[in-house]
Amino acid sequence: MRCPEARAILWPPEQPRLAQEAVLEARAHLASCPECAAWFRQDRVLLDAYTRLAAEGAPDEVRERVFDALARARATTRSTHRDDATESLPGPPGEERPPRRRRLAAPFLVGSGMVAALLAALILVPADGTPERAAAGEVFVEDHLRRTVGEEHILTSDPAAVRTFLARELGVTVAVLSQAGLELEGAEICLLEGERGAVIIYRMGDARISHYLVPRMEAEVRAPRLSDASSVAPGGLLPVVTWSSPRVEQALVGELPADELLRIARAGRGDGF
Amino acid sequence: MARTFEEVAGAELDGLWAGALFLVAGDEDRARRLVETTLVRAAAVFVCRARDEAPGAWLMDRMVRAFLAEDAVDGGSPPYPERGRGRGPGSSPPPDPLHQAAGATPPRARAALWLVLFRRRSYADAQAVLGVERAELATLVEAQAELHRVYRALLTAADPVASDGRRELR
Repeated sequence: MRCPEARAILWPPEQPRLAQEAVLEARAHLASCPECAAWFRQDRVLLDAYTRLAAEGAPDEVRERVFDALARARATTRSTHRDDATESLPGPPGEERPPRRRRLAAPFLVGSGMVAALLAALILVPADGTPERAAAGEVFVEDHLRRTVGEEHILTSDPAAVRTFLARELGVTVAVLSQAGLELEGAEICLLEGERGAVIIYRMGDARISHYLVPRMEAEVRAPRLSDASSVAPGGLLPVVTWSSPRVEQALVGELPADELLRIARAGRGDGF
Repeated sequence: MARTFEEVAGAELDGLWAGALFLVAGDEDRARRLVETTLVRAAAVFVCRARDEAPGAWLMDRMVRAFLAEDAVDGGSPPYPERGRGRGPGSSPPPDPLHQAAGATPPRARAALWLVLFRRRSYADAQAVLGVERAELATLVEAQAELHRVYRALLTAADPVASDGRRELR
């Protein structure tokens, strides 16, 4: 038996194999061939070196840039192909999956869903009040996609966990609002006008506040301002503050007085939003 | 349960990054571009994948093909000694000896070594990814001897004492 054949038969060396004739012959060759023995020893040295390097993992900068590129590609693709609903596949049999995050409680989802619907309504209803996209059926397709895509949620008061979640899901690094009296409750992925975004949920006293973030290739920087759309909310009770950082469109919606919501947005912007 | 592409990519990123660094002989900019290109292109066709296929192996296969295609177009990056010329005192440190040693092997051999030696893929798998016959793959993985020789030489040059300490591993 020649060296290449023996090495191929015994590869990978740590894998158990049946003692078939070819295997026995290859082992016999290995026992009498110094070159093949050296080859397998070299393999161990190189594998150890590679394993040590691989254990370092990808740097955060690389992770962020890669997911940023994915988010940009998604945004571009969505403008022509809204096919996210099928962009998933089950893990192969036997493959270990990363642990799932806890799901938000149903009331939380209903509440945040209502806020999302409100924000979507604010976006969708044109000046003359005609719900064009609804008439065209797009909003229903969008909602179907949003549900099918399997929204991801995370329920946590840990800002670092939310940052990691958003960096992984959206490819953007965002700071979590940190102000006295503002308690972080969690975050979830949302779909607004075909764009994948996120909403971070806070509570201030009894009021629930939703902070929407939608990554953009380029967004016109705008200071926080109370949106005119606030007035179309049922009863006018839910003010909306919108603003934009260079790459993220943002909105704050909550059961708070408008000036309080505006103050939170402005303070948050000072924190780097 | 279904997994989104972002979940799959997040789980596989560390492995892809380690592989990309080896394939491009430690050039971090090029490694990032390779991983980025691989994932963005893969995201576009993820829906088409067979449901029982391991997405990690699928992504790695795609990265190897992207690397070889890029190398075929522009010849890839020069080996480390060329790339390192002109480094200023404030420039990034040189790549790890293993990555430098990778630069001493031809790109196709490097790809074969990564799949077979480091990812422990079968010869049949590696043949399919590289599109070569068994005999050619066997020839490509022979480059392991050169990789090991250069790696040991770099270790010795960098730290003779530590290298001697590792001699028992040979």
